[in-house]
Amino acid sequence: MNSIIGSQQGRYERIDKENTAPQEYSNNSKSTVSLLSGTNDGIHIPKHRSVLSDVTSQIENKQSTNLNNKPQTGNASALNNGTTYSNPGTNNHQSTIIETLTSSPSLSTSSSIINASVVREKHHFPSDTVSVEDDFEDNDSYKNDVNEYSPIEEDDNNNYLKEPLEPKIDASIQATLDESYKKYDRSTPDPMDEDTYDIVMVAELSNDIFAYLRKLELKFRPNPNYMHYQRHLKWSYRRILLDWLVEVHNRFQLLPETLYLTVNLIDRLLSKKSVLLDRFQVVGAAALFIAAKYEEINCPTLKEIVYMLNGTYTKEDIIAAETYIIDSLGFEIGFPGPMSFLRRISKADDYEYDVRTLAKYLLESTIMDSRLVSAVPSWLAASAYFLSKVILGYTTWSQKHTYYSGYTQQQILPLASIILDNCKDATAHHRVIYEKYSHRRYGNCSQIVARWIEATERKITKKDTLVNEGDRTR
Amino acid sequence: MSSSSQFKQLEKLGNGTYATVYKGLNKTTGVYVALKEVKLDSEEGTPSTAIREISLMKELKHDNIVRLYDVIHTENKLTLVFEYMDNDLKKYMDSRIVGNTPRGLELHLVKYFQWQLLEGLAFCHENKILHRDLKPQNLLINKKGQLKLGDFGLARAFGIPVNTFSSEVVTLWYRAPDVLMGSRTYSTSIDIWSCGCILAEMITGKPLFLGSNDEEQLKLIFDTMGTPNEATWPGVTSLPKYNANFQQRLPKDLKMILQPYCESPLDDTVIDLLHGLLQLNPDMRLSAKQALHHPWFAEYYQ
Repeated sequence: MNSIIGSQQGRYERIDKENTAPQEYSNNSKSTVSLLSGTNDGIHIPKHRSVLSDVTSQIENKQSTNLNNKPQTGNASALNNGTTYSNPGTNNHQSTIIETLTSSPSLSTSSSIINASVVREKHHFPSDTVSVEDDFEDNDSYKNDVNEYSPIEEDDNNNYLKEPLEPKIDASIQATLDESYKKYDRSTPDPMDEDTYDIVMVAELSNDIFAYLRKLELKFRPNPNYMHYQRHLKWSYRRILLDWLVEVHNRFQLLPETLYLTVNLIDRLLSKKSVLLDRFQVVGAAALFIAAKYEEINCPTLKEIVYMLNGTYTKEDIIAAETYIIDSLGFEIGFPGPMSFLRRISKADDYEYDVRTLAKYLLESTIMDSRLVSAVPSWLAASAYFLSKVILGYTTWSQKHTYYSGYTQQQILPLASIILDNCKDATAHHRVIYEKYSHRRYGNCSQIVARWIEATERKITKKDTLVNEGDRTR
Repeated sequence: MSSSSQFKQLEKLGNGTYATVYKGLNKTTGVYVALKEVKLDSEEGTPSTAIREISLMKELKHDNIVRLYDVIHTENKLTLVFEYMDNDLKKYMDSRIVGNTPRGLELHLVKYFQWQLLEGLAFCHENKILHRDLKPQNLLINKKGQLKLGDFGLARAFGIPVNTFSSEVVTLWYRAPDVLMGSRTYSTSIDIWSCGCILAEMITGKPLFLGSNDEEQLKLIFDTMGTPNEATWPGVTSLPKYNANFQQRLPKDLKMILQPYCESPLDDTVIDLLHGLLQLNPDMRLSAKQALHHPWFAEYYQ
């Protein structure tokens, strides 16, 4: 695994400021806007792997028939995959999987109620992808490359731009948020709440601090389309790099905060600078080094990092990459990460341990998804937490959850669906994280999720068959 | 980013925790600056102290926190360009020593400095940053009587809940008893203890607890503030370095201790504030925000 990236490509150019094509985030976003303001022609829908897509499409068909009187072909909904991406102008049913799954464990009639109440609200998502056939100095030379490193390549064809995934917000969602805020927000710490007396919870400041973290997470958002401008990299290379980093991070037993910061540093660097393939791994290692220096009490030594790189790079290479990252990011390292948000939401369930533990796996799996590069940590944390609750059989997202997470169920469902979808083919999507979390030290979380998906899939298929038979007899 | 040629390096101002500080002149604007030079280590790259200090100070823009204007990164050193301040509180207090007798500051100045210290600190804490090295050397002052927090080399951002951090923080004399006893689950209260020590030091002109090692430091604290027990501080006996053989002391009257070194009479409100800041049990210590609302500061917030 070590140094795959460096050794297999023989190009050895050094990173150096003259050599890079500095891509400013602002430029990118400008072009995104201009492209989107064009037409809806050439919309490109990426295929996503999906074990449950058949099931999903059946469910969707039924729902669109039942609720909208608008039949859809199985094929079309399989492409849409029932998850995130809706094209402008078409009705899609995101979050139907979760809705169905939420209700399915009991296999009761409640499923239709939930479906009816939620699906009708159409979780609209911005159009994901707009193809750019034209004038970007995009990766033409790579278009026909076969990516031998990764079985997952749908997103490697970078010549379309996608709009960043963002939680939906409208008047009714805002009203729900405001309502929960009105109900639970207090200007002084609750004297009945244990946290008030726990110094590490910083109760007096926590509201202000979380508000501030929500601001910070926006400031530290990478450009979701940076790969479009990278001439030498692809999303699949990022996955390889992150697989390796997750392993190294685990080997050093570093804090989860350090991993999330590492990923953020890499993504923000790539949003600004183009990086050569043979420097990609050392950039990743240097990002981990910086993140550990920022977060950890005891940071791995440079020697240890060199060792992890299997001798492909020298100390000087790592220091040069470190300097390059730090300078490119203007020393702005203070990305907040999702861990505090996760813990905060958990307060709504009295810090229930199992839900949070499982959520940590689901949350970590999101780093592998190229579509979620710019999704903010608070939203990722809320969605992972929600999905974890669903998997463990709790289906309520109370006002309290809304208050402590800052998101309504409606905002969370689409993202939770993506996370679930990714877990259906976990070993392909996030093998290393899957393996890490199948360890007992991590509560076998990934296996719990896999088993749950399997069981639920069976139930849905069975239910579906029953319903179909019921239709026929009727 | 500026280049180093833009600044003329003048006299050395001192050595920080991991760097040397010079006075500098911005040749284009004619404005004085403080240039903090950090040697880059070929063994470990950019020091974590510099990474933290720079990234944290970029977030902190406040009247009572020294401003970081710029960073100049060259091959073998990193130069941090700071707002120039005339003096630091330590040197200023030292300059008032007559013969061997320390002299405290005038109480109205003590109050103004303490207020600004707490304002700057409250801002750090609201921005989820612990300073972790508050002491008179790190409080910079100028001729206008402004006071600003400087040297964020030991500072760090915290999440909620605050993770366990190193207990090797804060200069000994200003280190809180919980940290001295090995607690790693400290929070904002770690800086508050230092603020209490600094307040007493401004009043008397000499450090409140002048220990030469951890044990002696704890002993001196307990001599004055009383030895804690499970009744006064639940959980204290389970701290890593708690010693059941600590000498049992009763709290002394702080006013009696401080008054001999202070020319004007101390009123009870400042003593009350001191007690709030110097609570042995970190849970009981005032927060920076609460301290700012203490009656002693009534003239500022009214």
